[in-house]
Amino acid sequence: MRESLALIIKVAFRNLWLYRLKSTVIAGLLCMGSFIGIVGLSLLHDVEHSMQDSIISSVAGHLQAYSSKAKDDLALFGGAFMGRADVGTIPNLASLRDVVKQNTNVADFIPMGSDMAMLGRGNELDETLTSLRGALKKGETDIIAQRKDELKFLFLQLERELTERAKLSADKELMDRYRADLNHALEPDFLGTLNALDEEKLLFLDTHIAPISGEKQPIYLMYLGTDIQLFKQNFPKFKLVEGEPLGPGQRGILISYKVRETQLKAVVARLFDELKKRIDRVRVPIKGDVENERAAADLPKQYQQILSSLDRHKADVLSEFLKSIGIKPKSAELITGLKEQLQEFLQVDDTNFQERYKQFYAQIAPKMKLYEISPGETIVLRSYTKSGYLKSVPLKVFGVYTFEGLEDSDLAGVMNITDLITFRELYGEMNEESKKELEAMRVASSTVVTDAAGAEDALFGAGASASVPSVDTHPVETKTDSKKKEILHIKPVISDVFPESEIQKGLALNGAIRLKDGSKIKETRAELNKLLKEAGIEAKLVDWQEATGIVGQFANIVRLVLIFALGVIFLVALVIINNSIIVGTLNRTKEIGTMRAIGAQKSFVLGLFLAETAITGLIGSIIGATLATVFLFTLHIKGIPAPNDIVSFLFSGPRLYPTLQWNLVMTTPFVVSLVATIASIYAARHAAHVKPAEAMQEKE
Amino acid sequence: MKPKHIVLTMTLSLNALLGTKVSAMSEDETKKLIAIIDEKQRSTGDYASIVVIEEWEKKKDLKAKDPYDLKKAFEARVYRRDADDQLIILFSKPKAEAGKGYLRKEKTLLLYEPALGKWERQTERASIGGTGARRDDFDESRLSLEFTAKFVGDEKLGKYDVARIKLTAKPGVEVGSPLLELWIDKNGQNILKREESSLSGKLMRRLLYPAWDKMFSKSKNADVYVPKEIYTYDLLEDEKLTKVKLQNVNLDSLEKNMFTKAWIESQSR
Repeated sequence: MRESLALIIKVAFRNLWLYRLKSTVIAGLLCMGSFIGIVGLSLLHDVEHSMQDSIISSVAGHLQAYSSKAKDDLALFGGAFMGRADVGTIPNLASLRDVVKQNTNVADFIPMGSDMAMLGRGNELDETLTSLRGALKKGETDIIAQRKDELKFLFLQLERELTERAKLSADKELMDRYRADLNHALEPDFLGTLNALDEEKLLFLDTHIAPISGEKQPIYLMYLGTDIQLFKQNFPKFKLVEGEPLGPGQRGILISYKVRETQLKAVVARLFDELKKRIDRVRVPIKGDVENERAAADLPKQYQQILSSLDRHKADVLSEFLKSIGIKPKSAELITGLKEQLQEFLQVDDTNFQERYKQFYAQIAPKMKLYEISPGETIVLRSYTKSGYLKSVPLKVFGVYTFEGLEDSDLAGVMNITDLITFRELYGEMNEESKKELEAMRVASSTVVTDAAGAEDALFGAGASASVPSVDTHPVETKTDSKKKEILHIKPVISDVFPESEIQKGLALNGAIRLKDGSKIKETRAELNKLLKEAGIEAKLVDWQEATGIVGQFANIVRLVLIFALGVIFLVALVIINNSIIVGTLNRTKEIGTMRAIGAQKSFVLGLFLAETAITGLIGSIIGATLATVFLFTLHIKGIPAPNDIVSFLFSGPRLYPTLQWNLVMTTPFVVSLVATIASIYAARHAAHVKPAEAMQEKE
Repeated sequence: MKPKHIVLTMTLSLNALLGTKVSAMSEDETKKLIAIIDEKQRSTGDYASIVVIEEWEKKKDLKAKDPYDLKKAFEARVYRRDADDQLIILFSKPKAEAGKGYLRKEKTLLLYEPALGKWERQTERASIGGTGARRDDFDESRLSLEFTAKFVGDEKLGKYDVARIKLTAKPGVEVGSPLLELWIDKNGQNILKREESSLSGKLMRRLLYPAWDKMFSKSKNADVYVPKEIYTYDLLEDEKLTKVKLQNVNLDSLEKNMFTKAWIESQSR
């Protein structure tokens, strides 16, 4: 037996050399299969882990808990159809937290609630008018003069804009009215004599001039209300990049770096950034790329954004700078001249882009308001409460945050973070004091409350006294004097601080659960479900993948695609191996017949063919595994760059550094040669069944 | 007093004296009736009142004894100077909203946030405090200026004989709703019911006016009619009811410089 095996191997090696071309093709295919298998599975393993890390360490935690009465599934990054999902509420987060924390594998429970808010915006004129009004109130003469000059400059720009609009507008009456109002504001006496708080003039500017400039589109901001201290402790990727942290018990908001860069930055700067990123990172030039060409074509249209944020002095300085780089104004008048200069400056191509980018950030950006929101400012967030009431909450912007390594990710950076108390306020959760106040008003009300169908009968049916005036003519003198109304005592809508104990209890929409041992998600989930059931808490648990909706399913999709691709490659390789053995058998009929004629058993022939495949497979796949090891080792050092923001989320950073999976390197060659050997059984059996007589016949 | 107003006031008085009933109306008569409605509510001088806005939502339990829950309530002071096309709505209750104010000058509506001391321009359709009540519910009646009226027919509303009139917004005029229907009491010549529809004809709001106040205005030298209560049903949103109560209506002249940002700001220091 041993001698026979040694002979089979010896003959097999001889045959492999004899038929070396065929052997090389088969070995090459299995080498490729082994290489793709090791590299593909290693990368999939790394991507899955990176993505899991991105999600778990940014916002989801290992598990998420939310109401079992929820009408929609929880989707932390939004569902397939963006909208307001009804995920129910956790009315008392303290009881849920207490139950969850009974499990020894639970590290922490972080309460959350998220929704969308609007950010109202005025135009440049509104901002300048507000500033002028403030200066007039305080009698700050220098600022008054400066703002008045800015206003005049803006009026002149508006005058030119209006001339252009009048050419396109069908509403001549409106354009004439705008023109008349603007002419009035441009009269030398109008601004010239505005040195004290003249409410009439200011109201005219607010109501007749500022609206001409139009309104900016409102910005929609996703916000996540949470216990910020717990959030920082449990999501290690969280990093403050600008401003100051939000301390315990402080109300405020942290703006996402990504949101600020993509939604709150001046469009002109965003277009420069977009081009810079694509040219430098993706290495796509402007010419020939549709996306880059579109951005480059949009740039010159943004001159107005720069122009309207300048005062006369800044405009002068900028015009001089543009002259110094060879962009001369065609018109002597400052605004028209600068407009032409800016339009020329903003025309970029592959030859001048890098220079213009540097010049923009060095000379133009510092003269503009680059961001809508910056740390230190107070903004008003408006959001529809659960009952549809538009609630507004003023909030101080403390800082700008990001998730380390995920700076460019749209998904991880979609949320702006605020405290849980602010979330509750915007969600329409009334505090005890408000509830008492509403109850008092309800008691005082004498409303006939019926549905729309019954209302007419209740109010106008027999017995109702409607149209006939219920109060006879009476002179106004008997009425109270409105002038004597007392001043309202305003309680700040929400104070800047809150007792920390408030976020330990009360309402939340969901909660992230961080585990000590993340590999035990399934077991911990089952244990927690049992605990919740026993405690009678109406909450359900989902893992990070389910909680992130369509994003979480992405890992499964990637895995399926890769496995399918590997399957196809292997199938093709096996078909080729089989065919080549069958063809080889036909070519070697004479040889097989001779072997059989001199006493070789069928089993010898079968073993010979299987041994040939096994040896070829082993050699090929070991070469493949060696190449895969070298390749992955190189990638591990250099890293794979993420070509776009979605991939950077999958990579959990701008580059993926693959790790070598030694178990894959060791096992794959054996698995590949085994599969190839098993696949060649049919062909080998075919060879073993060649009859010596037939082989001789063929010879004749 | 302008001659047009004298004629309308005389028509109004005659109608009241003779108890003239409105029957199927011609285009001119319909137009005149709408002008009378505007004229009855027109106050040449200033106007002040305290407005209570309550928002009631239908309970989920349809068999509940009280079918509606009070979800929110506001109290606000409303000041109008129609001659200058100016309006102020200043909130006094609840505490969290106190000091918030709307200031309208002609077409522009500004909102004051006292907690921030900031002003913001609002859209024409902006609802008051997020309720079913709108800014134009408290404004001067300008139906004859903004709409074209068409008589639909005579009807009965409860115990009242009413004339049903359809109004379509005139081209280029900015209004809250482009299509209206009014049910006008033929005797009292006050609006009892008003329905507002979108351009596509979709019914959006139903307003019921169960009681009107009449008071004498010195500046107008005639009576001014003011609704005491308005019941507004939001027909798009599960019949949400907004009830507006107008109290302490006052036609006394207001401070000269009242319709300014400074005045509203001064109210909430």
